[in-house]
Parts: sequence; C-alpha cells; structure tokens
Amino acid sequence: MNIKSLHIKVSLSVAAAALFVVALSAQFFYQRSYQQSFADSERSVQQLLETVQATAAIAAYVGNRELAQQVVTGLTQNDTVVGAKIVANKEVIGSNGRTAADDQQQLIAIALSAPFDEQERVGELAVVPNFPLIALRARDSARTTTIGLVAQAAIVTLLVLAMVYWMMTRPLSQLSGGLHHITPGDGNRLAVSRFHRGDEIGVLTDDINALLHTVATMLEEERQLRHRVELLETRFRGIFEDSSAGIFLVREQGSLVTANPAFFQLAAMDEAQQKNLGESNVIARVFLDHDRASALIKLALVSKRPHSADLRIRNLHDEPLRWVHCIFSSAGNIQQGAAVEGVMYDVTQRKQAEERIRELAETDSLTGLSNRQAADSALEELIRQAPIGGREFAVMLIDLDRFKYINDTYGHDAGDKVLITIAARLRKLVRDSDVVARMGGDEFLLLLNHAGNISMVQRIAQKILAAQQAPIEVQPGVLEKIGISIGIALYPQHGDNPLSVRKHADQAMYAVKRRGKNNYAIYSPGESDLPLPP
Amino acid sequence: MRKLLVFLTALLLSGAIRAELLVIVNSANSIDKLEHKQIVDLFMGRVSAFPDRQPAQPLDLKAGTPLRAVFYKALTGKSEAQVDAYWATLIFAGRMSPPAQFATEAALIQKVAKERAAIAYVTRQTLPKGVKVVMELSASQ
Repeated sequence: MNIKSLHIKVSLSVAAAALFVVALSAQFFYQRSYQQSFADSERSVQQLLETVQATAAIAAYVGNRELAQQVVTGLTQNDTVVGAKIVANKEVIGSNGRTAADDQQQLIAIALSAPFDEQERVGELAVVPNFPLIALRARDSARTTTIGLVAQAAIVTLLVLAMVYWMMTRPLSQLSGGLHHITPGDGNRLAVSRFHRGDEIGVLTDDINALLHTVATMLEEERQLRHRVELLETRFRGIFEDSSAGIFLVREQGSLVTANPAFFQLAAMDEAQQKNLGESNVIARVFLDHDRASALIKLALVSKRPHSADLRIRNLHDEPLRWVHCIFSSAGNIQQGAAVEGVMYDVTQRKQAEERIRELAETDSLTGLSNRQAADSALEELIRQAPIGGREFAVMLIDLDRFKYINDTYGHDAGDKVLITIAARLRKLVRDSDVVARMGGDEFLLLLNHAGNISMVQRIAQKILAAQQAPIEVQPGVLEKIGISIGIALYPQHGDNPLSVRKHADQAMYAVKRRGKNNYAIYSPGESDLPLPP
Repeated sequence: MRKLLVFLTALLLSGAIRAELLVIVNSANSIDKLEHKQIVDLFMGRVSAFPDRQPAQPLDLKAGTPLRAVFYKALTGKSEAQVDAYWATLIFAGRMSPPAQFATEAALIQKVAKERAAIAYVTRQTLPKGVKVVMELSASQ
C-alpha cells in the first residue's frame, strides 16, 4: 500500500486528530467523572446520615445508649461507612467501627437538634466514610466513562474514516488510477458513479472527460495536419529530388546550405562531397562566370525579385563548355544570414544552337569572314563602346582592282578562289581582335581596333598591299596578280558615327581608284579632289 | 337553620378545645412553677426528676383522647402520631417507657392528688384540693 496515498494520509490525519481529542477529553472526563463520582458518594453518605438523623436526635435527646448504638451499628452496615458515633452532652453514647482520632479530618458530621425544639442542639452524629472504597468506585466509574468515551470516539473515527474512504478517497483514487491508465487520444473516458453525479468528484470527472475530449480532438487535428504536412513534404521532396533542374540554397557569401541531386550533376560535383564543402564558396567553384553569379545573388537579395542569366559551368577537365540558365531569388533569412534560392538547368544545347545560328548569320559563307551585317554591327558596337576622347580606331575599305576581269576571263570559280585567297591573307595580316569582313562582291572591310595613329595605319596598309604582290593561281598553271585599292578613315577624326566614317573611307578608296589603283589613301577632309599618297 | 346549628356547635367546641390547659402536680410538691422546656423534658422522657431532684412521674391521657393531641401540639408542636412514633422508637430500643395512660381527666386528677411524684395535664377547670397548677398552656400557641 502506498504510504503517500490520499487514503492513508486522510486516515492518519483523522486518527491523529481523534487521538488528540480523545487524549485531551479522556483526561478531562476522567477527572470530572472521578470528582462527580466522589461527590456523589459523599452526598450519599450525607443522605445516609440524614436518614438516621431523626432517630439519632431522639437518642441524643434522651441520652438513650441503646438507640444510639442501634443507629451507629446500622450506619456501619453500609460499606461506604467504616465508623460512626453519636455524641450527646460531650459524651459518646454510641459508637461502632473506626472512630479513631487520626481520621478526624475525614469525619462527616451533622448536628443533632432536640426533637421538640429545633433551636436546641443536643448532640452530634459523625461517621468515618470509607474513602478508599469511595475513591475506588469513583475510579471505576471514571474509567468506565472514559473507556466508553474512547470507544465512542474510536467508533466515530472508524465511521468517519469509512465514510471518507467510500465517499471521497476511494472515488478519487479510482479517478486517479483511471486517469493514470488513460493515454490522451485513446478514446477512453472516466466513469462516474450515480452517487457522485453532481458533486465535486462528479464535476471533476466530467471536467477531466471534457479535457480528455479536447485533448483528443486537438491530437486528432494535429495528426491530420501532420499527415498533410508529410504528404506535402513527400511531394515537394519528390519534386526536389527528382527535378531535372538543379535546385540549391546558398548564403549570401556563397556557401551551400542544401542542394538536390540534379544540382550536383549539373555542377559536375560528387554529391558525397557536400559535407566537405563547409563554408567554402560554392558559387565560385561551380560557375565560370562567378562574378556575374555573385552579382545576381546580391541583386536578388537587394531587389527581392528573381534575377536570371545564362552562366557557364566551370569544367575541371577538358570537357566541352556547358551552359546553365540560373534563376536566383531571395529565400528570406535562415540562420546565419540571408539566403538565396537558385534554380538552374542545362541550356548547353540551346546555347550551342544559338551560337551556330549567330555564326551563320554573321559569317560570309564563301570566305568565312564576317558578313556585312556583322561588320555593321561590329562598327556600331565599337563606336558605342569607345569612350569619348578615348581610344581611336581605323576603318579600312578594300576593293579588288581587277576582279571583274578575272571573273569574266576565268569564270566564277576562279573569282571565288581569288576572294578566298585575299580573305585569308587579310585575316592573317591583322590581329585576331580586329574585324575582317566581306561586304559583298569584291569589297572588304577591316576594323583595326588598335590602330592608334596614322603611321601605324599606314604601315598596316603597306603590309596589306605588299602581300598582294604574290600571284594567285586562278586556273591550273595560270597565275594572276590582283591589285587592291584601300580607303582609310579614322575614328573619331574623320567621323563620329558609323555612316560618316564608312562614307569617308569609301571616298578615300574611290580616290585611289581614280588615281591608278593598287594603293591606299587616308581620308583628308576638305579635299574634294584627293591627293596622291606620299 | 341546620347549618347555623352546626356552626354554633363548632364554635362552642372550638371554644372548649381552645380553652387553656393546665399542668398540675401534687400540692405536696415543692415546685410551684415549671418552665415550658422543663415540662417538655419531663413528658418526653428526657428527665425523670423535678428540678429539685425529686422523682417525677408524668401521666398521660389515653391515645385518641382529643385533649391529648391538643396538649402535645401545644407543648411540642408535634402531632399525636409523631409523638407516638417518637415513643415507639424509644420503646423499640428498650429500657424506656412512655408516661402511663389514663382514660379520663378525672382519673388523672385523682392520681395526681394521690401521688407526690405525679405530673399531668388537664383543661382549665376548678381543681380539687391536693393538686396545684405549675404552668398554664395556651392551646393556640
């Protein structure tokens, strides 16, 4: 049995209280009962004396010893009296039993008056009460009273305990035990007996049941919610895991938070390496254009809007270049700062196709040089990019001198061969960054990016002219030397827009043609009639 | 008429009973006067001698005589039955005897006149020679 159980506590408390009360009251009642019993005995002795008072008075009045002796003998028959005597005229006229002087203080005496004159005192009747017996009886009586009291208290206590047990502690411990075995949400409820319906225990039970019901409802709701969340999570995880797009989450500094398998595949990284990445900059490692990628991340964070671009993946080995389209958008704050979500997918094929289309659109199919559109846009781009008062460049317009003759004489194949040869020579004579284009027919255009001054341009022009001294085999066994006329205009001296620069280069070239061909000329403003080159 | 007669008879009787009592002794007795208490002690057996140490013999009327009840009532304040009970107690204890009883006042007077130690009670009347009154007792007392 549990020493801490409510019933034990209540029982011990009630028993202790009852014991305390009984201990106190028993003492009090014992005392009172003893005194009362003693007083009763004394009073009965007194009454005894009063009973024989008249006779004793007669005996004392007439001094009759026989009568006096009868009276005292009769008195000592009573067991509460051990001795008695009658005194008349200071003379003992009758005595029986103990009348010793040592019992003087214990004497109970009454005065005897004359039978025919209440005023006249004729003697005294005195008895020695049996005090030990009286005390013994008083003790017996008191003990009986006290025992009765204790027994009564014990019975009441037991009854109270039983009542408390049946009406309070047992239902409470049943309630407690029942509740102990109930797991919230299992549907079990506490039973309440008809007897306790409406009282505190009944109300407590009802309240607990209501609470259990509420908890069960909440648990059920939460379970359903969790189930839905799990379902959603499974779906989203499926999307995340199975997506062909690389999905990743990075911090502002570029360290990886998480990424799906497609990301690692696209980034040509082993997924197992993820743990080793730590705080290192994944962006710098994955993207060749990591500066752009970092800029996009910052932009996405600042603007709170997605920003996207085509970016190149950094290849560790000599694999073909791969492109991804990457969209960065702010993902809010996670621990340790702002985060950006990235989605990227492979656009290498699209990028290659675009590249091919662009090349096709900008290339002269015969010579492999840039075509007119490419040249025009290159010129526009150069001018747009050139800072004002900054770098200069030269536009060189070239026309073949005897192309029509070659075409007419040897056929188009020969003409084509001439064009291809010249184109190859031009391409070889200038830097890779310089633009060499065929503008159509036998006309070529050179954009010399780094031609800083006239003397440098002149040197290049002379090199080009010198290269044309080598004859071209137009037909097997037939060699022809092809002359060229070169018109040059400089930017920004000779024009601040594509049209004027082109026009002035054209004018310079026609001036060469007019003067005898196979030479170059630099545009000279204000001269309608062009001078001969030096 | 009868009522009035009864009333008058009762008045007459009461007058007779209320009539004063006389306590008498032999005229040869040296005592001329006795106190009330001394009479009580003599009749109730406490003392058996006159104050002059001469023996005394109290005489009584027969039990049931109206004057006897009047006398004891007047003397001790007790009823006749109480006085008889008193004597019964003493007789039962032994060695004590109540006063000798006589049928009539005349027998009492005759006895007192003859006995020197005698003492008795009678209603107020003219007494013969040989007795003398030692105390007068009022019945209304």
